[in-house]
Amino acid sequence: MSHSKLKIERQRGISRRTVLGGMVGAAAGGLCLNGFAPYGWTNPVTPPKKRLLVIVHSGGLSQLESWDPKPGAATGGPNLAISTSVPGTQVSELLPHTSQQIHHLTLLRSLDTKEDNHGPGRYLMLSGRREGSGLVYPTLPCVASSFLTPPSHPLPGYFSIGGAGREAAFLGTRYDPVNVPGDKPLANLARSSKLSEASEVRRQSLRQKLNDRFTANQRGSSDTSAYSQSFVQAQQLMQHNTLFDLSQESPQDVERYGKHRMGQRCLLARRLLERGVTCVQVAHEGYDSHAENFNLHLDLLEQFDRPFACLISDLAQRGILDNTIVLALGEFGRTPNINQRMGRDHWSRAWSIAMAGPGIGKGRIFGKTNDQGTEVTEDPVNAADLYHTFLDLLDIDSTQKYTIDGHEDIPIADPAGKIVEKLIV
Amino acid sequence: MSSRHRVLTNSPRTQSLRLGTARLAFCGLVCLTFGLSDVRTGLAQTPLRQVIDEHISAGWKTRNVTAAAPCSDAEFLRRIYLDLSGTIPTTAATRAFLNDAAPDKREKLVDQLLASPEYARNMQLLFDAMLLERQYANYVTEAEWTEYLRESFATNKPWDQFVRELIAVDGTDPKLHAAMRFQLVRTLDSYRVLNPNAITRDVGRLFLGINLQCAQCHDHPTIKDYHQADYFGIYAFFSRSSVFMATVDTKTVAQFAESAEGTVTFTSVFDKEKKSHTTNPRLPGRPEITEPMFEKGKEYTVAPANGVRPVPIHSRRGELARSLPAPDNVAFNRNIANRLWCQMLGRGIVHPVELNHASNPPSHPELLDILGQRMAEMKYDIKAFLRELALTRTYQLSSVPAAGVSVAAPESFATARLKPIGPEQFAMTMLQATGMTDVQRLALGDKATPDALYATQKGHFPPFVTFFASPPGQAEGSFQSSLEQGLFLGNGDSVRSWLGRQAGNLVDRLSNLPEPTPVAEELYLSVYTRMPSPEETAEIADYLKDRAGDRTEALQELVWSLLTSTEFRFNH
Repeated sequence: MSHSKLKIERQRGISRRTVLGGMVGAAAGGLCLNGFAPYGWTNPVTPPKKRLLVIVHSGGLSQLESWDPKPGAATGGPNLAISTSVPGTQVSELLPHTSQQIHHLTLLRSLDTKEDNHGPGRYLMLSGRREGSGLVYPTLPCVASSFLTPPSHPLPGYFSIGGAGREAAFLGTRYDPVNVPGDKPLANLARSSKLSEASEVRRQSLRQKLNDRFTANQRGSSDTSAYSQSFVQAQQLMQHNTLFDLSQESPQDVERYGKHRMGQRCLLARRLLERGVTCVQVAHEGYDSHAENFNLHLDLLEQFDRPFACLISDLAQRGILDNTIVLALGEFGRTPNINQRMGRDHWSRAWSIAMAGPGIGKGRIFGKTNDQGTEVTEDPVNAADLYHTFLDLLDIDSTQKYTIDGHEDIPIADPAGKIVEKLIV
Repeated sequence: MSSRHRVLTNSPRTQSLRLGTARLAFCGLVCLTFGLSDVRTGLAQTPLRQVIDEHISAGWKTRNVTAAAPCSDAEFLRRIYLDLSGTIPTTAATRAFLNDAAPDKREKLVDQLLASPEYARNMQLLFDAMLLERQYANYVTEAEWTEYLRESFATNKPWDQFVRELIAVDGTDPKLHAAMRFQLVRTLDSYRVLNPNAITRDVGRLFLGINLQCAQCHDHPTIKDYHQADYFGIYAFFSRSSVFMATVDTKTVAQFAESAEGTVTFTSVFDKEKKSHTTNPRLPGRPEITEPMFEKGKEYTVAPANGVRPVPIHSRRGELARSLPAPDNVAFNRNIANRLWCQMLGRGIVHPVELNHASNPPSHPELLDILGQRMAEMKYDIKAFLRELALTRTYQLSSVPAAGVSVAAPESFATARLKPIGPEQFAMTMLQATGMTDVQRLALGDKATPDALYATQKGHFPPFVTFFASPPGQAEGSFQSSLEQGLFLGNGDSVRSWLGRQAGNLVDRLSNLPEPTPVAEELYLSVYTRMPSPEETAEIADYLKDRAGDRTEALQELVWSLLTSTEFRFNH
């Protein structure tokens, strides 16, 4: 075990065993401030072997207006289904651009998650646990980032675009997402205009000198170096101040993705993944269509469809999809029943998500619902099993345990769940 | 103080030993001559601080470690201020203490700080984070709750009484209504208030030092003394309770109701036969509580009816409030002793403090027994207990390990631990260091009461909580660092504005000092609560040498560097 790994282990109180199980930390050791090339991977940076992009349909996307249309059924609503790039597979007509990328995707149509509340549903899908157990678990991107981000990586492991959450739970704040607004600059990223670069360099170097003096006499610890490191990381990110700058993208791409918020968020996701970030999450809000479900999905999916299709196509074309797991999911689906306000309510018994990336079938439909979309009829998948599967797709052993402060073992996934082997190709 | 130490417990072992004061004092002397004071017999009441030091130093021998040197006055001053008042002293207070020649000045300072309003504020902040872990709660406002906490610590409410209030509260007494917040916590992963699972976990962790979380669905997979039956034994105390919305003086207020019915059954997920178990309320390691039987229909003082808050004759929460915070509850006593120890020493004797079990034994088992026993004997007097800890040699060790030997393991308590300063405390400490608190003091004039000052400081807490606190639902304690902390301290508005020159703040005071040596002194006293070494003074002089043209900028660089250094970040 290397020295730097041991440090991380102490710092976050996670055991040697877990560390040996494959966990690496995001930031350790002294980094050269200028050692990172702005594009692609160059020495000495090692890319993560697997990466993760999660697009969250906040509020609950209707499976019937997206991945599992039932045109003509009583529950089907007014929208038609259209052909896709995969012969024989249809999706809702609200996804014309995405329909041409289906050959990259698996549409999982047989989710039965038994959780119809927003907060707990989201938590279940992203943390793989049911609410109310008393312990809060970290979300999938935090977990993935903690395992997959190589040591000495100059960028944080997890950016959440449009997010505002603390998600790392017992993993500690260093695995929390860097929350990027997506449509305005990241808070505190820019140096004050009143502070010259020379002044910044002087004060940072004096800070380091004071730290070295304080931690001489064996007074240093993993805590003191982690604190010092947070300034180095901040400086590194400040040097990448164009990381979030979409004006650096070509006007054609900005146009292609769309100048609206979701378009910008998806383009930023591409930009971050291209620059080697391990985990990115993109939030798309507003799907809670208890009233006017069809008009609402018409609007929202128009914002989602094109940038998502662009993203999938670009990630595939640039080879990023070869090592990146992409998940498009919400907290649940929506009722087949159309209520009196032309709305659909919360529905977790038979709904869909889309997935892409290594280990995930291309152009595949997994599972099936009945004609009205009210029941899963083939290959039902529950949330605990799905979470094990996500981890497995990311090459993370889903049966291992966190050992917090050396004593309490916490299974990283619900021990009652298991990998859905059939879902993996 | 001394009379309090002579109070004996009600335990049978010591009851027969109620002896005269003279005899006790004599025994104390005799025991001293035999090395470790054998207080377990109850014969002696050696001052607790002495008992602690004897046990800890005996541990150094058996562990073959060398203890650090005693801490300097400056180290002690900063440490005790941060531990007891949550901030650092003014430069005037620092100078006065360092120049004070009185041999008992440390003891006097401890008493002064324990008596200060800042002590109660700091304890309020610490215990709010400990008990609620920055989670939301309904029906009781944060302001009511924090005032309840502050007042409890200001009046030095005994710990057993405090815990009794948190558990037995039903909301009918307006004076205690705020105490309901503890049971009303909405954990992040649940919308439910008065969630028996969350409360079970908290009661186990916070009051007994055992985290039964993983014993909810089955016996703990790796900790063999944590049983599912223990979990549901605690659960059963709360499962009959619910929130009742009452109308009091035309206002709707939350109260707790309790049913006289409801059985707790549980099944292990590992049990293939799915055998169902039933349990009455029960504390871990104890038998189930035998409950009084009532004739059907006569179980209630106030029977359930529409719009009526039911009150059972036998309240399960009431039973817990009697049996949990009690002198004969060894786990309860040890838990609070260990938590206060951890607060002062930076590490529990059982560590982590919530994982007390056979395969995670205390580093000093006998000492922990004594601490728990003394806690009960002291009638759960938190201030008196902290006072004893603060006056130990163990607490007053340097944080620089003994030279020339390998660093001792933390559980030997041979060196003072570096404790990360809590988020709110870090904000207050920065405000004091940058002189912004002094500016406020001046601005408030004779209205500069501790409350008024705190009100101005509190407004600066939110970003510090955002960037430095453990995530909601996680215990504070382990050090958290993140890139966003670096961005916040480097570029954020808070620190930047405090470095701007304002009449009376640190940069202003430094700007008014033309010579580098006084600058170094004022800077180090303000930020590090100590005098600079000659090397450090020379460094400052050197730094300022060619900066006459941009002296303010140079001074701001200096203040920023000290503020963001590890020496400032930790209580050492």
